[in-house]
Amino acid sequence: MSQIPAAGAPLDTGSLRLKGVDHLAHVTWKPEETLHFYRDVLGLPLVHAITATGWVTEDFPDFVHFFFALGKGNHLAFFYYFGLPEEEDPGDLMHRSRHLALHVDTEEELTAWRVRLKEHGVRVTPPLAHELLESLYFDDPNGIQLEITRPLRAFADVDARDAELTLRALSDIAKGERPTVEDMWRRKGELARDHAEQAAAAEEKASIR
Amino acid sequence: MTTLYVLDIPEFDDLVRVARDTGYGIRSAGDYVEVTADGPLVLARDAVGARPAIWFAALTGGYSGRLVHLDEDELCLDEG
Repeated sequence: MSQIPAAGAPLDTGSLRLKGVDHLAHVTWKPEETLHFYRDVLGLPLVHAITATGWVTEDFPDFVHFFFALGKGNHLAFFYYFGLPEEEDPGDLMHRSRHLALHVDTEEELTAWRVRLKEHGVRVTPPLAHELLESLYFDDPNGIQLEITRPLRAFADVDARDAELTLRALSDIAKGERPTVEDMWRRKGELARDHAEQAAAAEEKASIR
Repeated sequence: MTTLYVLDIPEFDDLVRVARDTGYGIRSAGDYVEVTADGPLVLARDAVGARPAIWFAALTGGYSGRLVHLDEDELCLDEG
């Protein structure tokens, strides 16, 4: 087994680079409502649909697999499976967590989307300002949570360096039996102190030169 | 000694300002601002004026000490 790298440190992939999302796939039991919502309300072109018998595995149902273009080469896809019993809705936390956030650039666009969604009878939240994003939340006809979000500022290098320390702290304490957020913050404090000492040493070295 | 590391980004500028005005030790520490107190380190949300997403992420830089509480009104760390 290969050694697990430190959190956030990428393995050397050489010239290999992944280039964004080709498609994200969900399952629908409501094809008509899904088509109307994504094509007519969100304005996403329907660009492809596959219809096939369930050849993939022995018990794979016959299906339709259809794709909406999200822009920038990204797509949102749905499977409709013939004869598949409808699944129960996920709990509230999983519903909120497993969401798709769609990007706009400006506050004006965010406001305009909220107006459009309300005009089409979609229940949509007021804008919610997070750390670096401001977002609207609403559900598609399948109960999948969607978000439209705009940047409050761009991610900076300092955010990435801090994320490295956070994921290192989380990785360190998540191995424990009942990890808590306090455990993580205390470990992060140790890593931040180390970072501070290294920064001070580097500064001192630079001043001596 | 109680120490709070605050990520040095604009979203936390008000928190650092209030910590400085309160008389806590403030030191630039690489990507973080190190806030130190002899004994409890207490910050009132009213004074900081942060929106919820920022206020409840105030400990994201980590700390040395013990979290007494972080609620809608106040952040309190102490030694231990």
